[in-house]
Amino acid sequence: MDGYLVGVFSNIGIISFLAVSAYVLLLAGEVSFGQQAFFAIGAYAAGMGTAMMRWPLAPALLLGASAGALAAAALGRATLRLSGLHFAIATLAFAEMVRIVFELFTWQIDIGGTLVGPNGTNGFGDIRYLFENEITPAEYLCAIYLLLALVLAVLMVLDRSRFGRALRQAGVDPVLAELQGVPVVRMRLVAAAAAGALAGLGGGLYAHLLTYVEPRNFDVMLGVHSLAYGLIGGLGTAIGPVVGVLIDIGLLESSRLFVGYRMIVFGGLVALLLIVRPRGLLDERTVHWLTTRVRDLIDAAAARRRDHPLRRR
Amino acid sequence: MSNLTIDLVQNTIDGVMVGSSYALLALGFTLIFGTMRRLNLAYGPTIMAGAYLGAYAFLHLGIGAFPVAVLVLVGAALAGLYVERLCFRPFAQTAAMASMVSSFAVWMQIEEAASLALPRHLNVFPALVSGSLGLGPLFVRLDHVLMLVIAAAATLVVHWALYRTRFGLGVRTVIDHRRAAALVGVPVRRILLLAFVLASAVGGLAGFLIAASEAQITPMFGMWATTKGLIAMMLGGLGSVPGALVGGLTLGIIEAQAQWLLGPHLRDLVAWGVLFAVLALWPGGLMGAAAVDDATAVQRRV
Amino acid sequence: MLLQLEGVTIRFGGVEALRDLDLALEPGQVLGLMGPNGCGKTTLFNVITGLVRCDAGRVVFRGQDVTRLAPHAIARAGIARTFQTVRLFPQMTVADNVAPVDAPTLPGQIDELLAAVALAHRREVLAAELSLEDQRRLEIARALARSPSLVLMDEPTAGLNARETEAMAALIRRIVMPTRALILSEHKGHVIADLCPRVMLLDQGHKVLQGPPQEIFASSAFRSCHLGVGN
Repeated sequence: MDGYLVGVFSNIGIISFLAVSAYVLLLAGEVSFGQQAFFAIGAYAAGMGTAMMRWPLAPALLLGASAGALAAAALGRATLRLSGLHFAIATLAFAEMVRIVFELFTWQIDIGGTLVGPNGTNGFGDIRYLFENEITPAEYLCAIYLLLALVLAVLMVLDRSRFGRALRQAGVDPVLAELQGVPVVRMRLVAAAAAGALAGLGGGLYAHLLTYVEPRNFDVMLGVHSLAYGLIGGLGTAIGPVVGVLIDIGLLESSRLFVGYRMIVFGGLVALLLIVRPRGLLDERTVHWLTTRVRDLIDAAAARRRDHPLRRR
Repeated sequence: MSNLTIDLVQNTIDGVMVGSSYALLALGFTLIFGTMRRLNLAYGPTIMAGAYLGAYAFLHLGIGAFPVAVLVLVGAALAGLYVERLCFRPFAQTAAMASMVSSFAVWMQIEEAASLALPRHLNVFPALVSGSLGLGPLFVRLDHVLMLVIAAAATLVVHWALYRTRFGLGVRTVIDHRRAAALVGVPVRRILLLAFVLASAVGGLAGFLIAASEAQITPMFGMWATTKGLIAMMLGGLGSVPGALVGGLTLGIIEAQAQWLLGPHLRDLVAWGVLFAVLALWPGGLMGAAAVDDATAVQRRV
Repeated sequence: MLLQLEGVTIRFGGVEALRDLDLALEPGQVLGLMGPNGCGKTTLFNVITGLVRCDAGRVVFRGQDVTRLAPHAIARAGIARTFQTVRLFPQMTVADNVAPVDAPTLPGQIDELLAAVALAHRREVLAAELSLEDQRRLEIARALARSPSLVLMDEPTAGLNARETEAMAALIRRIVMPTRALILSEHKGHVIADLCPRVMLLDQGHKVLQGPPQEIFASSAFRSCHLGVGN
């Protein structure tokens, strides 16, 4: 696979973590404009893990995810009483505060003669773990997608479980869900922490792919984009937000036709798509329709096999 | 007066001046949110569209400040019309998310269109007046005074429109209870459109005033205007017209004091911090209302 | 004593939605709740289920003081409720709406519940696609899913025609059990008379009268509530 494509797909994979992070919160009924904060926290934490503390990649990524989860849980507790627009703006405020803090955060240590570490607005460079351990871009791409596939599988299994149903119920109608015995507040906190972990993990992967991150990367735009992916791709399944990312980055990158006015075309397409499909492509109804069709097909195939005239009993 | 007092008062004056524009931004945001009950992420960009139209004409046709102002208002109103038709009109009340994402998509469109029209980062914009007024140890920029006066006049006009015209009555009924308004014969669709366009024009005026006081406009303006308008609106209390004013002025003063004390970075940190604190502690905003019925009380417990 | 309310008072702003309300309910009893709109019936249900906290008084369920308990804990303790305007999860299937989320579903449990309300054949249909009558039945199946000891029904026949009302009343009759109590809030007098041996009349948050349905309907209080003072 050519280097450019590896880069694009790596990007798609990593941003998918951010998109899925916003999706998990959307399931719980919360609109968050601030997932980029946990992405940033994860990036810095994981970067500090490998570049400064000389850890291997896996524990560093775990550190990033944990940092994201902790920060998200803290934010969740602070915003417990908020919902709707108030919650959304609070997350935005939080994310911007985090970004500004990173612009002021400097902590560098001497590693073999060079200063390594976050350097305020100059960002955090020399996250060279992949180079130092001779991991090729293609290998890293596989690692990213392996992790993503794992995450998606877990989410899809959880979706069919009692927990997944309870979460969706808490998101659709929190009052009704409470009356059904769902501890809505607790579910929201769990969802927030999980979303924070996902974003943190994505951030860690991001830092190592780029080897250099700066606070400017983690702005409002990133946050609104990550939210939009799930809403465009559909919230019926965890694959929805990934579809959204594919549409945005994939189509956009590959359509070299509209250089210069790509966003105008793309923005228009998205607006029109939403008129036709206000709940996104893979919304609950569509997923329900798909799963019923698939089930019918399986049933029909099984029935045909059972009733085949030549089958010996 | 001691030096510290002079500085504090000076900052407050500056803050009020800038805050008056924030108040206009918040006012437009509030009008849209109050009637639509959804977040319009393209609000700042529509103002930017108007401002860029004005800057383009200024650059290529050399017209004066007043015609530029008219162009900015018209441009913003037209952009607002576009957003309303594409992002809000086609969606049922339950599809609030779709509207929001759609407005985000249009935000992207407008930003790119603006960069295509004026590719440079810094673009000149006509200034209003120059010079300043001395009041003892304090001084006030003349263009700031003009900004304040125009913003105050615009607020009065909007207030008159909302409280002394049939259109305003229609807007207030739609804000209060859309279905009931429809049932008593209020032309809801038309009211929503007009309120949207009015909000965009108000925002356009704010945009003109701000760009004129800076004598320049950049592509960051769209996001900046949305952010300031949002913060001011939430500070004052969601969906409240007096709240928009209080929020705007408060934001202006906080920023001015914070910038003088701590510098530009920390100024933004303080602004966001104050907003976060207000939201976390008083979700109703500085002018918010407590629960007055079953529904809100129930929502609070869950 | 299954349910006991003592001196329950709730104020919203300057309005007293419920005023010093007392209520006593034993298992197996069916209590009718009547009164003009705005008299506090829904608020009463909100208090019992924990959605609204009362400003004074207590709510005791099965000997446990549940006044300050979170709604989900009260639901798990065995109180279920249906709503005046049908409230379901519209984008979820009938089966998913009924299935309890706080305990594993026993095999056949969902089918049994749906069969009891004649909805077994519509198991995989999205709730939004059901008729109003079927939606009300689904609400009842959901309410019964966790074998509640107390069921609160808020105008279950609202919006149903005469035939549908009859069918609903028959269904409600089947819900009543010696271990279960029911509070039925209704406007339709014949439904109340049919199902409730005891009726409580509320007006402006205050318990005005309590007794057998015929006595309530004949009272001057009932007439003045519903037809205005002087009737």
